Amino acid sequence: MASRIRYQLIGQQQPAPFWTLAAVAAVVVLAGLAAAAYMATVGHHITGMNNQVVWGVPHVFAVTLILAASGALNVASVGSVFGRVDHKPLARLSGVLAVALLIGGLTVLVLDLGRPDRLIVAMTHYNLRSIFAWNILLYTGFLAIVAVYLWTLMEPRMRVHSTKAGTVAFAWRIILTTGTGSIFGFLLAREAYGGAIMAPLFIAASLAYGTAAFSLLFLAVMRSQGRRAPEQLLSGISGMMGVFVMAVLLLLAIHFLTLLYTPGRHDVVRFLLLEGGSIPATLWLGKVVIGGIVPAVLLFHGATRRRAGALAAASIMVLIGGFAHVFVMIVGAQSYPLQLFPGREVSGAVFDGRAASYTPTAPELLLGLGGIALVVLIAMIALRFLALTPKHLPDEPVDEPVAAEPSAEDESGGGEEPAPAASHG
Amino acid sequence: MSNEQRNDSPVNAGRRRLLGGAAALAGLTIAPGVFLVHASVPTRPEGTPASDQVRWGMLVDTNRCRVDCDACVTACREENGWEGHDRPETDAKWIRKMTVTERDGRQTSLPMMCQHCAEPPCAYVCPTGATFRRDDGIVLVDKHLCIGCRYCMMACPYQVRFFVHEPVASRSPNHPRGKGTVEGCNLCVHRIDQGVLPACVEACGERGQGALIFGDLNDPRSRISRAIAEYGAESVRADLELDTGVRYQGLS
Amino acid sequence: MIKKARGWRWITAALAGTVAVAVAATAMAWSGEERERSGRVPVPALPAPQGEECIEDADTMRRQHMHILDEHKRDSVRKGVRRPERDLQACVDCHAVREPVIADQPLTPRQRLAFCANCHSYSAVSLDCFACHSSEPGAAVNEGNDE
Repeated sequence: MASRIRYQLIGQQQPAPFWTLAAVAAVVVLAGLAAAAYMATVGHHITGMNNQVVWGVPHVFAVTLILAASGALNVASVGSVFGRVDHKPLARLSGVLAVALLIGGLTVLVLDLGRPDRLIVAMTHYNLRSIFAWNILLYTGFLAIVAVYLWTLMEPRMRVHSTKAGTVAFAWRIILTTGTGSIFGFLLAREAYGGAIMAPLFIAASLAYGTAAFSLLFLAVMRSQGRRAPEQLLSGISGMMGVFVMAVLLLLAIHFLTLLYTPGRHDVVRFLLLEGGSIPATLWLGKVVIGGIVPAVLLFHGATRRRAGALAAASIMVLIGGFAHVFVMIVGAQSYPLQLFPGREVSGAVFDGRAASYTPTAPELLLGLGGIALVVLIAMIALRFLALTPKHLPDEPVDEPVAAEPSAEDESGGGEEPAPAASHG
Repeated sequence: MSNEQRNDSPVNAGRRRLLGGAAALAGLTIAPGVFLVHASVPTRPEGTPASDQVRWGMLVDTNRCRVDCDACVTACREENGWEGHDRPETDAKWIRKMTVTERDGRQTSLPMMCQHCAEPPCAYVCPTGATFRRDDGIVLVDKHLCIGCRYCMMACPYQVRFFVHEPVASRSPNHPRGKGTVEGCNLCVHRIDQGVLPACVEACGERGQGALIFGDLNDPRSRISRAIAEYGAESVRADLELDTGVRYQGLS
Repeated sequence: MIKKARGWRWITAALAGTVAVAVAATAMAWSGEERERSGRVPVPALPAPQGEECIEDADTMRRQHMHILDEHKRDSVRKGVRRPERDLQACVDCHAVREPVIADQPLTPRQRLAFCANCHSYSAVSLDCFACHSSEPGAAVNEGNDE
């Protein structure tokens, strides 16, 4: 706004390491596609998913990526909608990552379908009573809106509209995450879900996981160029993510307390929090400790909240916590047996009354990892061909920190200079 | 139920006209209760759609159903061709026998299958509308539209929907099956449309305990309606208020 | 400016390449020899049906069978309108090959439904009905013996 921001392409000056990383991502994407093709050919019985646990690891990856997609737009929203000038130069990167995450998540979701070849049916036949059908519209709408938003950010003549586009995108992604949460909230059969609270829980989760994903990408770009992010900016992102992480924990606690207040649901809470084998372990260790308390300390503590390394570590932990959270939400909820005759002992041919077992197999894990790799690949290609990252951020410590701290940052990747043709005024 | 006004509608009267050849033959093969069979499954003229004047339902008398009998399960499997691959976690079980043990140790045996809800959660959540409720109350999967997302299986409270996890080697002409789609009890819709009882009901009458009654819940004179009126019946998970088409006697 | 010129060169080259490939392909497709053989794929041989006549004349069926099946599929599955003579099973009952192609060997679904498969492969239209539907001729368990 006030000062001119010049943007750059990444990966031009030192193409070898850049394209090596991209090639690694591409190989993982191909492995994921091969896994999906294998699943589609021989059938889902080679996965750990079955008639009791119908959604498994692919859905955990897909939902986590989709949540992160919506949240990755945070930094852009903070800049465009809430007027934080120091965040605005990062809006482009934020928007592109949101698109990449959504495409990655949807790809995993679609490739896990029993009939992925019928994707066109999902585009031509809508049951408007289904929250799933609504989500199809919300996802495609999100892609379109963020594309327009990016256009207003990158085309100088459109820049006057960027606040409007950013506001629409902000509203849309809140609705989108409400939709994603409602996929689970509207399932009255599954006792682990609590109806209305699923939407705010998923919104908070998306804000936390998306900010974490963005921070990782942003810090990776900075590090590859041997640059240091302004402390003010790091502190701002840390504070934002810390609040979201705590909000997820709070809403999760409220969710379980609500269930505990319903006498008929004591058993499901006991299952998820104490007795459900790997489920409570994943929840307590993965979500609460690794994904909640530890990163919250890193993000809030005065000694770490301005440090790039701490933010990166916190972001990784928050994302691990995200996968753990969604795993408990999806797999844990299905592992708890459906109560056909509450309070009575049952037996039957579909493991009636018994906790369902689920052990993911290699193909489904590869499919999920392929989705993450696809996000990385899309983001890298975008960074290479679109001017997304500022050459210099406002208040960025430029010369003196490098001189003052001789070996503080890796300088090997610092040779990448902006291409003149790619700079915008 | 609110069927009084439908009772003597012309459609209903027309349905009780002389039965077609199909039903007559079925009546001959089912020696016991010929009269009742005919009264329960009125045929619909060929080329006419299913009518919402009818609500097909099934009544399970758990006092008759026995733990050691699975005639209904065998009959369904043969009729619809869903034999599995000896993998209990992924094999389909359109109908299964369940044993419910009370706190006092009393055991109840019953068949569990699609409950054909009037408000089916599976159909509500299906993104493409592949799962739907036919006008006469039968919940079906239109497999031409099913994309295999399994959201319906997440939504169903009864665990009676199954995903075809493996390629299907041989199939019954009565029911197309394909890998990657979801399936479940269809109340033997192909038989009902010909005026023949569902395979499980027929088998329960012939080889089982006669614990299953099939018929039109909307017709107060049908055998199923009279049995419900006389002895009462309840839905499994009645608290969910899904208005199931399959009802049980002797549960509580 | 330099960048722009380079861009145009690429676009021109790509266009020229496309045109060249298209011209070559057309020329090959219409060379005399090929035209006389009317394509490299032999015209399909169709096994004779069992019945006397179809629900419509052959010309209509050839052009419209997919629409007839599609309409019947929607009517029968979703509304319960039964017209047995339009069922896919009726097609199979009439058109399926019964005699083994190789003595004492069971027919594969493709051999059995050569009537469908031969023509579909000739016109390069995928045929996926029998991925789910039975390709076995003969009465369905409760059909056929009604009359």
